[in-house]
Amino acid sequence: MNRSPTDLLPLSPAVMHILLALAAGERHGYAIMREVDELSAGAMRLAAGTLYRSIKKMLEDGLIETSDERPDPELDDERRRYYRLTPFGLQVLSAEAQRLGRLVDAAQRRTNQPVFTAKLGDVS
Amino acid sequence: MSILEADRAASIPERLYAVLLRLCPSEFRHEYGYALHQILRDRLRDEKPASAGERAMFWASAFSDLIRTVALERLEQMVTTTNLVRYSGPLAIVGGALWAGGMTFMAIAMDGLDSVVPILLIAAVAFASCLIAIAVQGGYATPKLGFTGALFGGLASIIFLGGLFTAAWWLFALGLYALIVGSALTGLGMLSLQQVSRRSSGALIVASAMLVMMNDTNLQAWLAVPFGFAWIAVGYVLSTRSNDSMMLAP
Repeated sequence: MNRSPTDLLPLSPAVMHILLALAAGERHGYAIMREVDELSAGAMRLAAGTLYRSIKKMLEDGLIETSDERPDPELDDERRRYYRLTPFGLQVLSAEAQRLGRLVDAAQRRTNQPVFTAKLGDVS
Repeated sequence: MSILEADRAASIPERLYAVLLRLCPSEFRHEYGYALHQILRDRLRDEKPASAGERAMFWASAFSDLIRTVALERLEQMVTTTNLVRYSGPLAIVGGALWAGGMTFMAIAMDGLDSVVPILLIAAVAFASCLIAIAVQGGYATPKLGFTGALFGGLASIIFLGGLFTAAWWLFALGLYALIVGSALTGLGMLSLQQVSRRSSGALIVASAMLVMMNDTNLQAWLAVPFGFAWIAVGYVLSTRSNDSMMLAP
């Protein structure tokens, strides 16, 4: 069945973060977890089970694929599986980023101030 | 360190983790079991939990995640292997028809709910199966309201059944009200998806609200009937759409 990227929106936070981590290049599961941790400044900590349940679903939906290129066994465990974004996965990520962007714009218009400035002001 | 050496050096909790991994469905374990175990080793290597408190926190998070994964994968496997997803539409139609018929009989006879208990029993099984199938099916379009409602309604139907079996009317009433709330939330979830007919989603919400005002000893008994018809409408939509279009959960 041909799907439009918007059919899969909104994405769950876990899926969004995994796509974002893989947008920087192919990674194995643990590297994805660390990348997500870094991207979210520690706010989003993926559990291993959540990660692989999401990966399973994302593979089924064609958002990601396993990479055929194996790292040097001397440098890494050859049994590790690497994942990368598919072109469709990139489209879905882009569509979700646009949706979120529109949401942030709307929030800024409603509150009459930039959302991130307001948040920083609250903290200080 | 080789894998064999790593296995020999494994601590007791790590060995227990490996044993618990065997509870995952074989297909999932075959695909991701090694990776899950490897991530545990990577985390142990990088996080180095030293104090007793740190170790307790580390293993509590690892085991709770694994147990949750095992439970969700088993539930998903159960729904898939029994083809619940495929039959969710017909189940909703059968349940709705039985409910509407039973409640119409009750409203005409004015005999109270006692007279239609066996029919409601079968209808509740059908609703529970359908709601659990909807909840477990998964996807990315995530009105959590719909997922929560479906799971809540499915479990509620089981409580409802427990009440019928044990003749504990407080349990029956609790389950019935929870089923109503679960059905209404499922309707709201489907409505926000906008991939399922608005009429059938709206009908389920309105019929659930009407069921709250039902009284089995007077004319208000008729208020229970639309709930059955709403489920027939939802079942029709589920039967005529592909599985992909009912995505309520992450």
